[in-house]
Amino acid sequence: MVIRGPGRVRSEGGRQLPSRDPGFLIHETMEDMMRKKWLSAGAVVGLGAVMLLTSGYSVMANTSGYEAYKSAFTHTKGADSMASHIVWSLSDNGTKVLSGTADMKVNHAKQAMSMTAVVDDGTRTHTMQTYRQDGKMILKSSDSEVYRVMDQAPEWQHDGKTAQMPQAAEQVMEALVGNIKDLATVETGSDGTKEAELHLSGSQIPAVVNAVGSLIASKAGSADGWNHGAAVQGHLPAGHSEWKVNLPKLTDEIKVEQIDLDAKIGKNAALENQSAEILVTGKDAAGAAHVLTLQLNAGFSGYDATTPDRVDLAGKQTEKVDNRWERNGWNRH
Amino acid sequence: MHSLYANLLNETEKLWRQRRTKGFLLLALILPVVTVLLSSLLKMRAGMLFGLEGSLPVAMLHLFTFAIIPLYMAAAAAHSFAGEMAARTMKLVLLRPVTRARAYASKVIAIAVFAALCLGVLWIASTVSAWAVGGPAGGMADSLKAYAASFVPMMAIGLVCVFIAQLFSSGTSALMTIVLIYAAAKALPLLLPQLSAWSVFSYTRWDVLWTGSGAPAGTLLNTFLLLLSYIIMAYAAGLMMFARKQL
Repeated sequence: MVIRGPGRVRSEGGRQLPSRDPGFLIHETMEDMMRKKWLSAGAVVGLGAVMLLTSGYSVMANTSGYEAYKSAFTHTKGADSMASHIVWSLSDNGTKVLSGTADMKVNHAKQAMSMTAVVDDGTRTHTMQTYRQDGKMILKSSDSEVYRVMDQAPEWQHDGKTAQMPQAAEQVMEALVGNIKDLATVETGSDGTKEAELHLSGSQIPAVVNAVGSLIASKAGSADGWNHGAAVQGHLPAGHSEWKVNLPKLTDEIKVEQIDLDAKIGKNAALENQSAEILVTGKDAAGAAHVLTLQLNAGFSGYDATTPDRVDLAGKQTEKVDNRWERNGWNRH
Repeated sequence: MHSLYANLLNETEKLWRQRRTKGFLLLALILPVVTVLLSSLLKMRAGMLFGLEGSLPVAMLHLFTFAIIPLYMAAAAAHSFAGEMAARTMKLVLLRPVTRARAYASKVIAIAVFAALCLGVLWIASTVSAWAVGGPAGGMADSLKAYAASFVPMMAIGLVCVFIAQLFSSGTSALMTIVLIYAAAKALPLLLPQLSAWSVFSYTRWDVLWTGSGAPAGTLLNTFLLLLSYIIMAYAAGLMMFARKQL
């Protein structure tokens, strides 16, 4: 008896062999069996393919939270002019140690900007005004009446728009983020605005973010680094060593516990509001536990309809400054 | 069912006898310990912090699901199918009183057993070493969930490896091809981001959807069905080819 096929060395038990040509017919039945097997295996693969198609499309539809946010972000960056109002605070175990606001008006087409930043350390406030007008950068601190003028404002951009992140860098970042973008959700309200949110906690936070966050949290506590770093950004008066930020110096078990990002996307598909809350836990050298909370809320308005404020320097005390910003900060120790 | 169980024992033992399996499991045991030692050494010497203590189990999991477990499964699949074909030992498997479907199933399950074993060893080793340096143990249930969830995408990738291995009659060429395909599939989303939702290889970090506040149920279900469809298709297609194979 010739049995062809895949090593299935088993006689067909109760099968009645017809009288005509048994060998041929056995062949036929084996072939039939194979065909049936192929059919069922093919059906299974087909079923899998259908499942793949339906679930794949749903998964793609579900990444819309991330996509909506990304396009809103691009819209916001690409706006010709806008005004933003930023409120932020940093607290340690619920006590505010540092807080501030910043009102900023930017007009890319006019190459102009104005900003008023206020920083509050709990005992006193400090205001810093910055203007960019007529190709000059003007800084004014609330500590003095002197307007510091830089003749050449730092180069912003080439074509009037903020430099775009290269496509490649964006895709690398997206690949690194990986499945986290599936966690972003979006809800469309009845008025056409969208609420996008991404909440990460515990082990969802990528190790890289955790490492960088821990590093920043541990360095921020050392007042020296903080002062110089902040001075560079013009938020704090440079060279005021008595300006001490009452931040704990974390040494152990530093961990980024939670990152909550919420955004409201307006009808014009640009960001209307963006808030962030980051929680870092850790222990200081004495073993006391700390929870550092950074809260930030930024509102954006006046898209393509914002004119930055101007300052009239006539009759005011001015001082020329070298426009090398770095020399005011990191390198002068 | 006995033939399946008996052959599973055979296949498990065959894999266990290979040096790469022991090395693979040893790596899962040692890597977390070495990482913790290195980071605490750096912390003592240079005051550098990596914030690793708290996230060590999950950081380790992502390292293993990204490269080490797929690589092991590729090697095991290549050896267990194409390799045995080349070494002419496949005949010995099929001469036993076991159907081809069950021989196939037992080989697949044996690979799955070691992938699961690796995840288990890794979880224990990284949790214990994180705990030893005083990392917060609060996220233990969370990381356990992450490890359990990771098994699903690992199976999907493992079965795709098994399927590809059917196309070859030499273990090395099968392994080389799988590794090349894996690398290409990992790089593809960089060129065509819209494809990443479809590729089984972009779900190696699927566990993040399960931990913490978690993803909405719809996303969990859809991504699970997507992985399941890969599992079903790769298993059935691999079986079809294995059953037709001429020795």
